Amino acid sequence: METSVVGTNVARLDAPDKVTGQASYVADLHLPGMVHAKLLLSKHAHARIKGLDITRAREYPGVVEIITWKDVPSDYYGELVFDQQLFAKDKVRFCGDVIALVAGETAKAAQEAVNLIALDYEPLPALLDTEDALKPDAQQIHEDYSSFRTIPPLAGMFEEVKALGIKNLAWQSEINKGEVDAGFAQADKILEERYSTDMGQAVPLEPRAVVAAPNPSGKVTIWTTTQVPFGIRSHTARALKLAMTKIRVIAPAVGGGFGSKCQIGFEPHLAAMALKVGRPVKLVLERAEDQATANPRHPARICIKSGVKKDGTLLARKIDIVLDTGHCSSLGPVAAGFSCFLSCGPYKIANLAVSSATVYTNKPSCSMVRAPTAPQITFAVESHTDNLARALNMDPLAFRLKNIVDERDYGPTNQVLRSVSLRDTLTQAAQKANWGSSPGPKRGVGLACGWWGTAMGQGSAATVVINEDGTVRLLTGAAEQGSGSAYGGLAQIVAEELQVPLTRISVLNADTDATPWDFGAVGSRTMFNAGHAVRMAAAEVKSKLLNMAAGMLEARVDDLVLSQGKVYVKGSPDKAVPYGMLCASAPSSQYLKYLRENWTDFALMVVAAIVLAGYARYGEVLSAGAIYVIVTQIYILAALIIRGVNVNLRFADSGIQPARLLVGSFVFMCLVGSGLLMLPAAITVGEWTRWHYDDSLFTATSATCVTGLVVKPTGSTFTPFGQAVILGLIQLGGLGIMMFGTVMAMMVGKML
Amino acid sequence: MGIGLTLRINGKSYRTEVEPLTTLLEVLRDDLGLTGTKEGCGEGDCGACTVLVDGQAVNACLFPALEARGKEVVTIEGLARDGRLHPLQQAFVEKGAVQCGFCIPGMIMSAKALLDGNPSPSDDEIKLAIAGNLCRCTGYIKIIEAIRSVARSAC
Repeated sequence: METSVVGTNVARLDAPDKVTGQASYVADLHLPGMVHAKLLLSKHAHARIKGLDITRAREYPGVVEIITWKDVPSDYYGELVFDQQLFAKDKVRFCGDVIALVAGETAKAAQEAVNLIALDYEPLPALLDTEDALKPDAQQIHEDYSSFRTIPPLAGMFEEVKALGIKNLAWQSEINKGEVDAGFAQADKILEERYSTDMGQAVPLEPRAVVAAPNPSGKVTIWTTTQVPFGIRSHTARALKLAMTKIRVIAPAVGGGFGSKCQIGFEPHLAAMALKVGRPVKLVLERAEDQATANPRHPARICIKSGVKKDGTLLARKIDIVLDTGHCSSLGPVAAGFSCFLSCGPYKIANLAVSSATVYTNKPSCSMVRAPTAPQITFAVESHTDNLARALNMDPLAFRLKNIVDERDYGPTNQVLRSVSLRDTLTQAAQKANWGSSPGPKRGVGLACGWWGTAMGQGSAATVVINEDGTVRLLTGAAEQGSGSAYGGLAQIVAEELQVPLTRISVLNADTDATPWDFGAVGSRTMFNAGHAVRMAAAEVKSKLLNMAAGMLEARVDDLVLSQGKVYVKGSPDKAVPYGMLCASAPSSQYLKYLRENWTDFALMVVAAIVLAGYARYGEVLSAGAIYVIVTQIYILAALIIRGVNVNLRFADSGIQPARLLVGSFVFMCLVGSGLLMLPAAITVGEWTRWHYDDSLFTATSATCVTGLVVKPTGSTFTPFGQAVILGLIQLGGLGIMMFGTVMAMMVGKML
Repeated sequence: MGIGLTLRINGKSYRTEVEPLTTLLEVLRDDLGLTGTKEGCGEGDCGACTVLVDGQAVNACLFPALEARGKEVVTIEGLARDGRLHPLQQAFVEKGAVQCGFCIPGMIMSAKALLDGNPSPSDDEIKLAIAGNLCRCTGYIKIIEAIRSVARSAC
């Protein structure tokens, strides 16, 4: 595909603000009347809280408010499994658990007050390793585990996990394929290894910060350092039992996330404080606090066993992964699922038994850090792959090339893989690294490959608007954590689709009240998912522009060209119409279109007006009431006929078989006719008592079919209205309803 | 009780009150609203708070505000003139050296301190000058390219 903006080097739209210090990060916000918040975090990894006394702290000068578990709903909330509470109540579960939040006129006053809060802990044995936490006699970290709930789609799976009855198990995922034992039985060589990896932090340069501002209606606006503004809204709503209409989340410039900002943090705490004190509240984490409470990479223990044939074919693999999820489950179910598919590697393995468990410990909540679980699992799988090659005395590159997936191969879950370029990538990488030749003293060359799922999560949406001056506004829910997706790539897509210079595009992003929904800037998905949404929105705008321009330039849409924010007919760029002019003229062309479609109504109105004017002049001939009734009746009748014809046309287009339509319409006519003939107005007074429905049905059917058979003399039995009904049935039936409809459609329809 | 202090920042005078240990960063961000200078760690590791004091790049988070008395302080807000970006700022924009942007004010101030004293530095000198500035988006190559492009055009 030929492109003029996408794929070129452009300056991102937010760069000028960022190089001048004007870009506003959360910590830079200052609102009138703002108070400053500080957290009291647990200093124990696992301890019972025996006493909590805030009286001295509350008296400290400059303290505005202190909130603890007593001030907020005690309901559990969380990313997927609801196992978090806003403030520790009876127990702290990791070094960093939130016990209280203090708001002060200054950050210093708030910090002094935090230091004055009296706490009485009873330390409990801390479970700092998954092996210890899984021991049957280990202490249960979450006493309420059995009553925990999840988001609805995971409820069934969670019950299965609970049913395993394993102490401190938070989640478990599996992939099973083929017959793993049979695979091992056929193997010439089996290699079983154990790997473990440690915790790691994402450490974006910007520490997390939150500002929450209440408004008098009980709504709260939250500015926060997040990759997932809509997720924050949803979790805050659950934690505080607020409707989403009461929460607005804005992610301004975000100073890097790398996954550490895609979980719920202190947003609900700050929102609760803001609503309580009725003033804006700001919390900026110190680096140490940020480290203690961030969501590091899961420590992992990985047992991996593979069976191979002498020729290098991978036959079977069994993997057991245990991930340390820390004090809460967070996005652990996602990590468990990812690690399962990652551990199969980009290899064709017919027989698989993979399981990945997340386990509670007294550590920070481990969660998403850049490609969650990929470094841990790929380290284990690729080290194992090298060792397999070594065990078979094969070249590691040749061993990989023998087993890697190719286009249209099946993945571990039998997904058909598309756009697979791994073979080419590996071959080229090996060539460039002079694979096979010695790299020289003090140097080594290694080879590894891996895969990653993208386009994950739910959808993205976008709004593209042309301003009156022809500039373009892009509204996207996607957060901008620095990758340049929102202020670079998405804007480029708009520029490409609408052919406007990038400098004439503005972006508003990540505001839950102003921008359309987005799953979040996670898993490298923004350019793919939000990008497609933006492209579709821009394409829709483009099509509207073209249609309007076609009318204005009296040309076919196919002959129009978009360029530099203008539309022109191929070959005559000098007569280009700017988008702004098209948009400005849009309303009038809409009026014309409406008039064209509804001219009959206007014609009737004119007739009615003439008749009424006539009444004003010759009022003595007819009474006002009569004129009014006549005009109204003419109007209703004409409108009905027009609508009826339209309905008829729709019947013709409906795709119902003509024969069925014909028979159906005859039956319909007979039933309607018989009903009309049962009306008192249709029968002369003397015949009322002797007229029954079977007579009515017979007469109506006979009339519709134009047979001429009667059960009662038409002249004496029916009133003029009844006779008119019979006449109408004969006319409609005789002419044939299809013929009638078609002719009417031809006569009247084409004019409409 | 605060100590009265007059500071010269970006060519303007500001009057404020500080405690003996108030840092220059606290004065800039909290008292004067000059939030272009960022705080990444608060302990002199990351360089996000780099400003110039008498032409010297310093970590404002460690620099006592009182020490700046009588000296010329330049922050990121002081570089653009009349809506025109400073050549370093322009280069950072054009070379794609900006990602999340949090390290950029400090990075540009370190680069300015370098170029003011040494208009045509070698790559090693550039690397040394920004050694105290961390970029977590790992954009060093483009940052160095941007600084180099200004250095050459200055030759």
